[in-house]
Amino acid sequence: MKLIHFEVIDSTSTFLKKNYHCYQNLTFVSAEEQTEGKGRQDKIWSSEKGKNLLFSVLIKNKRLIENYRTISIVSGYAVLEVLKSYGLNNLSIKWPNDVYVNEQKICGILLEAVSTQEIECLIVGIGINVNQRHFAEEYQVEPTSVSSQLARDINLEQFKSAVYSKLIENFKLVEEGYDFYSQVSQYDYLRNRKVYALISNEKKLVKVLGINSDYSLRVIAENKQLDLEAGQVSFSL
Amino acid sequence: MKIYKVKVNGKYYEVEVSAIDEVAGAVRPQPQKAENAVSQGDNVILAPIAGKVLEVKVNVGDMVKKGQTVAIIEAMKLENEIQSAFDGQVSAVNIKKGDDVKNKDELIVLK
Repeated sequence: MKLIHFEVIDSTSTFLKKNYHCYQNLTFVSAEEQTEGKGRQDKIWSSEKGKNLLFSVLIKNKRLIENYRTISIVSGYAVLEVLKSYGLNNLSIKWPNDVYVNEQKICGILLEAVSTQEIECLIVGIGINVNQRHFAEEYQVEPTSVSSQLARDINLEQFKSAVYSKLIENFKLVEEGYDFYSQVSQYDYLRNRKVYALISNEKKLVKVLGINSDYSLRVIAENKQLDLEAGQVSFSL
Repeated sequence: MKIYKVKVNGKYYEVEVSAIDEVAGAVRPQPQKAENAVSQGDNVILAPIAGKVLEVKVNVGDMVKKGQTVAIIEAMKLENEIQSAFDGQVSAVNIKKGDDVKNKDELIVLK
């Protein structure tokens, strides 16, 4: 395990993508501010400087890389477990890995990989709202933070240490073949909700039945059950 | 090689017959080369996982360096930067944005 911290960086995930050759498995890179922090498909992830936990972790272990589908959701589950230990309630995982409190997003996760003929490394980029109380107005539903939920400021270093430890613990269990499904599926945010999914380039209203044991998502569309992958659908609630 | 006796206009001849791949240096007929087919010596960039093509970053004719990102494929919210393992010139691009690809599909060919 190696820890690197920047005051300001373009993106912790971009840093690891460019430099993965130089760093070992489980290198954690955090920053107080990201000038080009990003979410899925180049969506901007903005955050007040020094308020939140913004970091990426490099994974080079072959067994963990092979289990990237599990790593994706178990990373969200690790954050959920830490939030629970801080006393937050009504937590859920919005498939495949974002973490919600009630109906508000508190953590976003984006996995990236670098491949030549096979996957060389995984980079798990995680942003958790910790001490930020006010968010830009462009969100449909305002995000929340640990501090907003608990009505007190949080020691960011202690929180970071708890999240890093839980991730390492969960990744070790994945490496050993532990099955997280029964735990993860209890926190399924989308279960029984109706969502719009883009199926074969056609937007359809579907009902979510829940997360499958292979971490795909089972839905009913026009009386037929379908298993969807995150890369094949886009949701609007 | 086999020896056969053949009769031509009432006269017998002995002929030696060899299968074509028994003849050293024989030129074997080649199947018609399909468009975008891979020739010997070409380097093919394969899909490391199944997913959807988010972006294609090269065109036919582009020069590509080893380590250069040529495409991005997404699966399970995993954005996978596909880097070339070779130097070369792009001779075929078999994918476009939005395509679904399977593991080990041939994405891009370099010559």
